[in-house]
Amino acid sequence: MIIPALEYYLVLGAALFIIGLLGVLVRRNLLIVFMSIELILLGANVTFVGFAVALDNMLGQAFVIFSLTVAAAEAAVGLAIIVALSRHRDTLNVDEINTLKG
Amino acid sequence: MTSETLLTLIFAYFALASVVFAVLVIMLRNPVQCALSLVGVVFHLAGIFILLRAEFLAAAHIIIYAGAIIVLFLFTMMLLNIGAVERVRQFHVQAPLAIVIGAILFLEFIVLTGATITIGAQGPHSPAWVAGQGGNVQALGQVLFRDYLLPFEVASVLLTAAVVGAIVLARQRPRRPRSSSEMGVAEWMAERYEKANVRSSNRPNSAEEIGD
Repeated sequence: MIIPALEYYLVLGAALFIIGLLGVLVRRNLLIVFMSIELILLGANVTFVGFAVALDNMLGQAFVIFSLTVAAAEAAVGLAIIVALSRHRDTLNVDEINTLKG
Repeated sequence: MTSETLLTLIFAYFALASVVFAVLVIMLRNPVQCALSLVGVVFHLAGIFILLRAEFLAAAHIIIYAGAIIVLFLFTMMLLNIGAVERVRQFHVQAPLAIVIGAILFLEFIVLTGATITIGAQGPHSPAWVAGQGGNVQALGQVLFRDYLLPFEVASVLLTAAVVGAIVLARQRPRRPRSSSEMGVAEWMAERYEKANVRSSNRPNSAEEIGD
């Protein structure tokens, strides 16, 4: 039994996903783009747990553990890339980072 | 007031607060304030998870997001010069278009959610089964370590790869000589080795060299 209905949780997850997506599209600061990606993953987690509880299946909750793992790995590697990039180019503006070759 | 309306009110508070904090994450100018708003999102989502009786995931989110990921963000900001970033224009020229498309996508989500959700057969892990295991943490452990042990181990491999990758990427590389293309590889390596020896031999000065 899930209170309130599953739809509320799905709409919350979708709202967080869309806000994160807008952050990725709209912001020019690379750090905040990464935070927006974390928001997208959080929205997915809410949807996972909502379905897991509504369907009485623990797989959804187990999958959130893997999603957290991916979020942590992504943050570690992404922030290392940001540090290397800012050392190299001295900018965090995504519009100025447009070449593959340094 | 019935318990159902009370739970709905609690849900409304946590959901609204997390959405407001999420909007602050993408609206605020200072990245440090954005990171702290992300902490607000995570704490309110932990409340949502407790409402769903997923206590372990609530704790895991607070520990991993607020305790590890956002602290990592803050450390990165301290390493970088964020004052210069703040003064430039923050939003893209494509912002209005992105907002329109995001609104359309959100409406689509809502329509699909209202139209197609039918809860079919219930899975094997009913609340009674969870209670029989001794609670949410024990039930999650049973599922994770009995049925999904291999994915769990693969996740640890992924974390190890991420740690190694992060160290390799963020490591301070030794300065290459200008004419490294003309210089032979062995010669270049010898010079590098010599420099490394010099650096390690007079240790008090090495801190200054790192900070360049």
